[in-house]
Amino acid sequence: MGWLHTCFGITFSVILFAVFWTGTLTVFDKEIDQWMKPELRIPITDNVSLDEVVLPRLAELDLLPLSAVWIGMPRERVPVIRLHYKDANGKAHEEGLHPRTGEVLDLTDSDAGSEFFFRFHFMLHIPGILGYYIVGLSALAMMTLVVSGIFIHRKIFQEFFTFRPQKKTRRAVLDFHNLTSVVALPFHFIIPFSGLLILITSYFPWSMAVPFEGDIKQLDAKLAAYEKPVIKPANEPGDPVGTLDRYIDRANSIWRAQEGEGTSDPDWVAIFNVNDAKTYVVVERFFANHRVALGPDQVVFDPNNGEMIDQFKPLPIHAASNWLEGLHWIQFDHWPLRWLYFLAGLSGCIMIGSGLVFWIESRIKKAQPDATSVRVVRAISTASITGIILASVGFLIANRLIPKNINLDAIHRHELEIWTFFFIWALTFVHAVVREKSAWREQCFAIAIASVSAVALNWVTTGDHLLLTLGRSMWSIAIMDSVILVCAATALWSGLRLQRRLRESRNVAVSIEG
Amino acid sequence: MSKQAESNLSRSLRLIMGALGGYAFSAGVVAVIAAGLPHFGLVKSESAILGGMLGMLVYLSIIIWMVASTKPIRASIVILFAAVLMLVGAPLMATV
Repeated sequence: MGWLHTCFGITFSVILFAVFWTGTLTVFDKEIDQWMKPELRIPITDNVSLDEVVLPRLAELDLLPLSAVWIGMPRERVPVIRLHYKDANGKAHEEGLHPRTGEVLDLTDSDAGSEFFFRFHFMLHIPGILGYYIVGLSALAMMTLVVSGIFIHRKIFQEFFTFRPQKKTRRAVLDFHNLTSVVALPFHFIIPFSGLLILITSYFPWSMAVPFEGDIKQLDAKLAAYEKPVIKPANEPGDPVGTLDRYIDRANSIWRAQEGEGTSDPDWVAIFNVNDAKTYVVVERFFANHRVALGPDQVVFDPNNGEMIDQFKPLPIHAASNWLEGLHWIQFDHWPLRWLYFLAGLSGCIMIGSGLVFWIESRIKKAQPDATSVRVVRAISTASITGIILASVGFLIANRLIPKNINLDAIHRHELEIWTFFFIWALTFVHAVVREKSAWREQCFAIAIASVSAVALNWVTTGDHLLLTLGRSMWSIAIMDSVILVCAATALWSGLRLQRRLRESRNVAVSIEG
Repeated sequence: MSKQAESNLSRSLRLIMGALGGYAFSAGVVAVIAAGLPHFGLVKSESAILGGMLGMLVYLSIIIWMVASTKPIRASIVILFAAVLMLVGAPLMATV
């Protein structure tokens, strides 16, 4: 089991760290969105009327006949109305509407948290489905690593209470590895498992399609519920939907009758068969009654008389699977739990990172410390740990520095931000090859400086500094700035500690030579 | 063959069998569950999801078994034989 742990560990830890790091950031994806798109920083609005805000906007638009329009309700973490539609040419658009005035917000062109970090988390920014398979394989490897790790460390409770930071670096790193692994052990197993379940039809496409004559699309269609139209269009033009608020009220009263007062509100409203006589409305929420299981919980309304014609409820096994997927997606509103996810995610990062560092430092003792291969392997580990953190902070800085209305022919603004991320990441690797062991310390200092600059740039470009955001209860921005500052302090502390270690080891070397 | 080379060969064999044989075996289990349970009255989409949910755990168990087994050759033969049987049998079960 030991060799399996080592073999999978070194093969997958670089990818696993990147996936865990971006996954941990995605826990606060909507907060990152608000930080990177300042137009989203709007106070929460109660009693939004879609009839007053969205229907006038839809009337202005030239929509693709028979397409679907999706309207995201404003939420605590996303205070604007999101409007997804297709224009007459079939091009997809996404808009943010002010929940009170209905004004179309001129959002900063950025992929931010819910697009860039989120997608990187499961596809590593690789086009197509190759990324799914790499991340899936890594998730399986992680489950194997957790199981083999338990085999190796049978004295798990004893080790859990052992942490000797004053001992030799290598010993301390291993203690840290064991501590962070055990403290969130169920999390480290359930997260890769539930992640695999989300994309399970991509991993067993042939097997799961066997009952459907080999056509996986039939299964996908069954599971996706009413994301696709269920009422055939009449293929003759008709009036647009006259009201959305009434449908929302009706869906709410249906849900309240079933689950009692105080149950969860709708998250999305969809209009299907646009511009057709048989246009109809679906009201959907992610979670029934504040549960973990990720819906889809939908009510479909008849186009003729506006009565409910169907309510989609997942079958038992589908619901069990949704529960596991739901605890991976963490779309529920529960702040303490969200913070626990964040901390468990960080503990996963530390577990993976310390495992990698432990392996490298023990190999270097045996190998020639100056060999090129040692240099490269060490540089890979530095770039994959401090490097990706620095690149992420650089991504935030780039977002604040690139002018909002920049107009380049060759490249979109959001792509420019992403390229900055990858450019900085590549630079940290080159830096680590050149500077060897000092690279750890120097990149820690770079993270500290960059983080403070990011917070300062947020202040300069938007006027929202920490005292102001705390005073006005703009929690998303206050959380972002505080976490970035904590990141700066941690990086500075680590850098100073590494510097002291280096000086001590130099003194030892001098005294031996002397 | 030296002892080191022998152990390297054994480890490579265990890993390859765990990864490829393990996938074939778990894909077989998924297919058999997906195609078989509808005969006992389960809805098709439910049996497919149940198969998928168990598939990854089966895959994990096979990898661990291949690594830990004291008789890796015998384990490989069992896994491959069962995998072929299930992969051939499942589509037949779906058509019956």
